[in-house]
Amino acid sequence: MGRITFPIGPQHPALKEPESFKITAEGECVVEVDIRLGYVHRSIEAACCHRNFVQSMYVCERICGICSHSHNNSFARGAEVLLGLEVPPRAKYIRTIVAELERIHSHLLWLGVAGHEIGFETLFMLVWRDRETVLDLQEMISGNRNHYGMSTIGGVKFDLTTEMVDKIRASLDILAERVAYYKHVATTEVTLLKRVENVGVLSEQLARDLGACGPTLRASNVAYDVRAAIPYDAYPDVEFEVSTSDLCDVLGRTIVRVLEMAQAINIIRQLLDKLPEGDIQVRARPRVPEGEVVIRTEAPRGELFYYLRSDGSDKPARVKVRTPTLANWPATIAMLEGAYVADVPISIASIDPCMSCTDR
Amino acid sequence: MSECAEQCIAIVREEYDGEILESGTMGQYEVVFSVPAEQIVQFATYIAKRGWWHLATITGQDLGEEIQMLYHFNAEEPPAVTIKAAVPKSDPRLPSITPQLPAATMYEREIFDLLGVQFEGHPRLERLVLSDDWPEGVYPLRLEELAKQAERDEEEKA
Repeated sequence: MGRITFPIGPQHPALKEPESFKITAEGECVVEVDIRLGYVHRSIEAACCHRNFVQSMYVCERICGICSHSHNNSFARGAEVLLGLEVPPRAKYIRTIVAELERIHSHLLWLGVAGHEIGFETLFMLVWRDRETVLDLQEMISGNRNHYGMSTIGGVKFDLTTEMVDKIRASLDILAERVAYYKHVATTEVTLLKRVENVGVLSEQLARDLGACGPTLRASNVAYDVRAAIPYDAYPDVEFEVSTSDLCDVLGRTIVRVLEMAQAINIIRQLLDKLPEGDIQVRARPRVPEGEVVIRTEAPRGELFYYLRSDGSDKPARVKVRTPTLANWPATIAMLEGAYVADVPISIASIDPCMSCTDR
Repeated sequence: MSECAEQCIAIVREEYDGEILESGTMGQYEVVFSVPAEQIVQFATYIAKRGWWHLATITGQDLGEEIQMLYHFNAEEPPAVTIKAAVPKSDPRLPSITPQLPAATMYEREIFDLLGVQFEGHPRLERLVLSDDWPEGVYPLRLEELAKQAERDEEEKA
């Protein structure tokens, strides 16, 4: 059968962000996939070299519009290591609470988009309604629905009042109920199962070899989660399970994300119970001593990697960011090759791709 | 230095039979090894097989005289391992680890794009990030380009 090659993107009605996929198909089967990045490259790594540490932190926060806190927090943690600052425990707890709220909102967003990709618009509407609950909490805490600017070098900017804690608890009760419902939907709803079972298959060995991360890796039965592997912030103080699935397909990734939302609610409840009193910030000097540091964070989409090097001035000498989506592209290509053309959109969506993150 | 980092250095120094130029730590959980650039494939494959199976990324940075590559590996437990290998800026080339460790493919292409390092043996060393009409031989993350950008920024402000 003759081969045809067709492009999807960079400008395409079905893609939310610009990225180019060149797909070669034999009939209905995909035989080769080529990805070309860079359509939203904003030179953020270079831009950071011209700005001081505090400015760079806010530039980095703008890498992603969904997991902004992960970026903001990773940069702040890196600068703190270089400065030798010990962050007050209350600040660590607040950071972790915001990070887990962000995880819930990111996973809900993904579940909605996945529903949309497979033509299950009811799921999309329901999930995005519930996502508002989390966004309202973020707005209450930080003043913003996204780009919270929560972490700063040396702590956090906004404290949690008793009323806020009560409001978070009340909202978590609602969310817990909804997440339990989505878990039921994800494992029993025939419309969903028919579309996601055995689609976008990624074997455990391939997931490991191709450097996949986050829910994509965990859905291929690898229990690797930075929060457990190299605990940071308040994660050493909480108990949680690393959610995995051995299904290795889109269904597995759906289940892992739903389980992670339940775990996130559990983590936030533990943190609120144990929330220590005290300061939320310590003063940081503008000049950062010479040194280099690696920071790993479990962002909602997977392991987020930061490398910072300071040459002793107030500006970073090198900021390297590797976002989870970039790590997941080789695995995505492996998923697509050999699959049906009709499964391409949901397979790509299943890694929860963020093109702006990828390009930086 | 944490205990796990010390153990890691001792084990690697004993087991690995190639040349290790330097070993140390970076922060609490990160062990750093420097190896000669031409032995990077041998050492990176050893580290990946020894348990640090996850290649998080490769960082490239211009240090003036040389371009340094940092290969960041980790696993389910601390410590994580970073391998440093430097190449002269006048002739930046070193062997590609992609044939052995396919996870490196995008990372090597990105460094090729932004810092102009030739990864020899990479199955497909082509542009990944920069646009097709970007001038040949201009590498945006090299120090001289960064300096030019800073100048332009100043002019815009003035």
